[in-house]
Amino acid sequence: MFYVKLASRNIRQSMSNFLPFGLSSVVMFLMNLMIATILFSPSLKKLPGWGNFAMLLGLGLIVLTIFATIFMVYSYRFLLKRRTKEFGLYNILGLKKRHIARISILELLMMFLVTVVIGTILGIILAKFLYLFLIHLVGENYFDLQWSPLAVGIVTIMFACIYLLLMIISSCSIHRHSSLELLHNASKGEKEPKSRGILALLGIIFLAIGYYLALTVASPLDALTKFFIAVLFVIFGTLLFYMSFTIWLLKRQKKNQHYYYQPKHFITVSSMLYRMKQNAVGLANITILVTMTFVTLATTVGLFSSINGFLDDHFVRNTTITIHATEPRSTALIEQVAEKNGIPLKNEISYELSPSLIGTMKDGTFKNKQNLSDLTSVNFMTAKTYERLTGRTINLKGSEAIAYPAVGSLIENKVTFGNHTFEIKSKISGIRNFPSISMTASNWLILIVSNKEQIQPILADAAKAMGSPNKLGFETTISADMTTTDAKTLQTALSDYRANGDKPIRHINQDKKSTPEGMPPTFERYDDMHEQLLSFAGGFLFIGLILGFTFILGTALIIYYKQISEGEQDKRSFEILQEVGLSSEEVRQTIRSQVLLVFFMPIAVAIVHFGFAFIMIQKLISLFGTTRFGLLLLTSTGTIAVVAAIYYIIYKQTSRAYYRIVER
Amino acid sequence: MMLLQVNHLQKIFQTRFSKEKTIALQDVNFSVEDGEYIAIMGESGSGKTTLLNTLATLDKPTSGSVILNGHDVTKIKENKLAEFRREHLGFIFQDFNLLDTLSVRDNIFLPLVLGRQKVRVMEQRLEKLAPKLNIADLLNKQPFELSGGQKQRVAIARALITEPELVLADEPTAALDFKNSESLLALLEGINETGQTILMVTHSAIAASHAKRVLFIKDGRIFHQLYRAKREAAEFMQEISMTMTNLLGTEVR
Ligand SMILES: Nc1ncnc2c1ncn2[C@@H]1O[C@H](COP(=O)(O)OP(=O)(O)OP(=O)(O)O)[C@@H](O)[C@H]1O
Ligand SMILES: [Mg+2]
Repeated sequence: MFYVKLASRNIRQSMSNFLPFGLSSVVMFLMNLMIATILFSPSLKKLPGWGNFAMLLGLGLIVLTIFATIFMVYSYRFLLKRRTKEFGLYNILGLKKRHIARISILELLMMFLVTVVIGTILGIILAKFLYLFLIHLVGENYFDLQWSPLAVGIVTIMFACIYLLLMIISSCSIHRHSSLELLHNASKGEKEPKSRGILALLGIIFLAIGYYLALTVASPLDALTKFFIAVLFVIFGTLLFYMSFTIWLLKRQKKNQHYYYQPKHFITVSSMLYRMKQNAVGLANITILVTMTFVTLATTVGLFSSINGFLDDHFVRNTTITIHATEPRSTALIEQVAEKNGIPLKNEISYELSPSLIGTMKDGTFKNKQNLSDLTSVNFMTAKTYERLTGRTINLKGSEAIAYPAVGSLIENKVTFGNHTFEIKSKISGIRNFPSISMTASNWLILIVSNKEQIQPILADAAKAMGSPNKLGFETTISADMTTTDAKTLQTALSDYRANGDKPIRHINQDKKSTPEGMPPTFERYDDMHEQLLSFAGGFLFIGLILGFTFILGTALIIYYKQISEGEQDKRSFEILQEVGLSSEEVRQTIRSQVLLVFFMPIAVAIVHFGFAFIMIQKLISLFGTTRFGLLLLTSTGTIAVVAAIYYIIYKQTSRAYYRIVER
Repeated sequence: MMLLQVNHLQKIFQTRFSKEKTIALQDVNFSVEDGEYIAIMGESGSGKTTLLNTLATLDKPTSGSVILNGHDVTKIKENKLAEFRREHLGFIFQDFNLLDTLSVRDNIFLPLVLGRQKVRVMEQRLEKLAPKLNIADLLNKQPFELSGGQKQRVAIARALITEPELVLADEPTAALDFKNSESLLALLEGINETGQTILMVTHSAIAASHAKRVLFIKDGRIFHQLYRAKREAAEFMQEISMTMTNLLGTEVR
């Protein structure tokens, strides 16, 4: 009990030391809790593709835990350093080290309880607040952010582990030092860090591996699995980079006497070098958080804003009907049923297309192999259809073909299917009245060939590969503009028909004995699809904004923490400097140049990280059907600009706090 | 030649929240000749540090003037003060005030760097100074690796490297043991013999006995002075101790 009293008194008395530590602990807890809350929210399951997304969030949680551990150890060591003098005094006044260790463990235990209680309460409030705020901002959404005891439980366990680690660190540090060392530890200086080539090399290798993984991602699903590993490599690479590279840079600056012995550089370089190890952790943390903010916001904003463009490319007219039958029969049926129901088919377009062959395309050779990391879907179109759609005449002889790589690219001049090879006569970048994007998450290639007969063997092979006993027939797509009610009526009327490739289309009541085989015509409507995509992308945007907000909060905390803790350290230095003859204007300048470096470095590194992550993001987004490079680039740049602006404001505010501390 | 003249100096502290005033200095008058070594002695709370801080332009007096080489330092504008200190004054503090972030060499260079001096000039000056202060071997170390006496010698080097008109020292031996104090005082005496004017405040009779002249301060007033003349330090110390006991009614070690 005595120790409990002593520990709680310690915390209350040296509040200025414990407060920054407690603050960082609570905010780290809060950040983890927010992700966990989203992860365990029941409404997550309403998102399409939620499995992948939950996996991503889970990985995010792991990354953030590692991150929290690094940061907590960093800020605890800082606290410990300031506390050792007190511990040394206890020791000299007669407390055994074992007892001192017990006190510090009790202190940590109390901090842990405070963290969990305050963190949970704040978490619930923040979740509710963010939810209401975002509902207000982006409108009603089916995603509901609910408080879950499971999330709190898991994050609490994670933090219990982190605190256990801190207790071990504290006990070790107390036992390792003699009482005199304890007494002097706080004032003890640090040797200037050595620049270690191995660390630099390791850092660069880690970053290279992380970047390489990001660059070589071939498909969305691949991106998911590689994402995590790449992120880990980049985190540790960043840390090592700051530890080694910045020390190397500063040392070089110091060697250059004419540069170093200038008032501005002198103080900045020496004081940054002095605490570069500490700085490295802080800068790495800021960089990673800023990168995470960029990535989450750019992904979700990009996804949300690409919906309209995607739909415009996919829908040539507002309603699309697909029938598994030949073109003349299909058009005849639709026109007949439409007329019977008094529905006008405005701007009617129809075209015939082979069914999609899904497989891999490598060096111009197509294989009926479903490799998830590299999918291409191929459709054939006859020259006749193309001419009718575009009004242009083309002259295709023998096995000549025109290629339209709608999604992805085609480099080769030949495309081989089994033992049939097409000579690519030309490549085109669009077909009039034809969609330029498909709903499947893969590359999309359209080949215009001279006639249907040529590709029968290829279709037969594909059927065999798919294990389908039937021959694959062509499909007809009819697009037209019509009102919603007309579309509904037409759909109901058409739902009784069954189309089955080359066989005639039949009505289900035509044959009393058996229902005809085949499939009814399928409908796709712009408005339906728009609503559907909006609600699902809205869900992601919602989560993205919550995460982005959380990350920015974390960044703000770390910067604040850095400024405050360094301000306390620098207070004395600036006093001395002013006594020796540094004017307050020069103090301001010095601080500004330090702040500038610390401000720009993380942003610059984060932008480089993001550049590589961008490729992954693009793949991840195409998981949901969209791949619009230009738009994504635009939204990403916008996001970076906004986040950088917020970051700048945070920096301005916190450096004011720093200035207030060091100013006499 | 007259270097420093202090006229009717007064300093009143008034805390923001209470009406109570503390008169730290009242009607302080004295002058310092070029090349003098003056000790200002007084008991704790007598106003020594306040006086020194006022001379050092770290603090503004309530009234009165401090004239250094014909310029009234109390009239210098706030934004020119740092520059003035850097160019005309050297400081030695009780707790050394070295920067942990800088090596010993860079700590000494500090005022010159702030004054944008050329690297070559800095090195020339240090080369001359280091052997005199016996710190030539310490230049590449960090301050935390030094003993108290070594630190104070480094601080003296930093004070002297600007070749100041006046060196101000606040209890420079207070944090040192007897042996280190002795050698430091001998060092300061030697520096004074090369023509450097030094003004030191202290409550130690031993420290004061190394000066050429001792001013006594009590309750913010200078009320007595002693000249050392040609006497040995030990002999002079006897007189200082006696003066303290008789006039101030305090025992001095
Ligand atoms: N900033 C201040 N605000 C209010 N009163 C002050 C302030 N600084 C000093 N004083 C008062 O002025 C008087 C002189 O203080 P000063 O620090 O000059 O004494 P000192 O002679 O240096 O003492 P010591 O030998 O203990 O260092 C004291 O009564 C002190 O309480
Ligand atoms: Mg004093």
